Amino acid sequence: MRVGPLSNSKVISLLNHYFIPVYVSNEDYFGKGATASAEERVERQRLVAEFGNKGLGTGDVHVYILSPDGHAAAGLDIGSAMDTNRLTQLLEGVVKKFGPRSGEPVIPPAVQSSMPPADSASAVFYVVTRRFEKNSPEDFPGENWIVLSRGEWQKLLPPQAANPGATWILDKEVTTKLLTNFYPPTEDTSSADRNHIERQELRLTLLPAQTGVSRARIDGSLKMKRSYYPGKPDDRFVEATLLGFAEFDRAGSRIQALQLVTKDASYADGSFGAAMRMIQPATE
Amino acid sequence: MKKSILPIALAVLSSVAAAKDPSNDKLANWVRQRVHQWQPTREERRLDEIGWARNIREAEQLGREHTRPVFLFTHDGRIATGRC
Repeated sequence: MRVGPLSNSKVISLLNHYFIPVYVSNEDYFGKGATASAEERVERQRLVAEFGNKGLGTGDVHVYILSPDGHAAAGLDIGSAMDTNRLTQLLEGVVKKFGPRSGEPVIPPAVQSSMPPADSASAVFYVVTRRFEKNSPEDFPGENWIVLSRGEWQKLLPPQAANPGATWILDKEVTTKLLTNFYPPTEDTSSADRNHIERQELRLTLLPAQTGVSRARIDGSLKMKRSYYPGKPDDRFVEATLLGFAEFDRAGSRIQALQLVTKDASYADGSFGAAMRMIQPATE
Repeated sequence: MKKSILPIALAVLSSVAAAKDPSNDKLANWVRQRVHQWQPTREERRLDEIGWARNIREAEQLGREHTRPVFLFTHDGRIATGRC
């Protein structure tokens, strides 16, 4: 949907000018990780029951249209909704039926993938991964946010009194936390971790300081098993070599910047790229 | 004794040489470029152009207040990050 109809100018315009748009992840409504409030979950159940009773169709991945007074009005299964023309026709039909007055978006548009809450002692990192094969619906970036606590980011720091040329290897737990999102977009129906890391290393080498900034080069490698579909084991692997650089303050007690990218990376039969950068350093 | 020290000495010299390697500056620029090139583009982030409500109940409330129908998309994974 995101790469198709929800990137289409006409659909975007219809949603903004005539509708109250909302998307919800099933992950937030069902199962152990559900975060939606009890009232919100009850309301969703009510809607699904009403759509079912009216024969308007239901589904886990589905487009539901509610009347302005909050009742089942129309819907589209995901297969049909991904057809931009079908979805546009549906939206135009709903506008015609209910006649809402055209106006500015009720909620101002805003960046949807944003930094998670993090305290000032934490450092926040952002990962983008993308496939290189073109003309595929999956040729769309995947994004992840990583928050390292003070105890975790401190493991990136050079050893005390280290001189240029000193090397150190990042510990397993923090390496896993940084690299586990280095996979291209796959079928991700939940955020549950299904990676099995077979080999990983991030080796840092201290470089000569420049203009009061201490730097380290990062060389790394990763071999990680990840099934394409959740719950359907297969033999697909991520294999990657990595290169990056980190900057520390003069005393080497605080990390100020970090960028890490794949030099070469493959997943199953295709290639992909992953890039990580520190978005927010710890400030205390 | 000399046999055991030599490999260590060579490794240290190699690390020092690598640390002083001017190509590290070029590589750092290359890394920066890759990071920049692979960021999501505006075209890939058109989802951000839509004014989304935070949840179903908020959307319904706003629908009533503004006499607008509600477009509700239920999905698996995380559409905002492309992990879906």
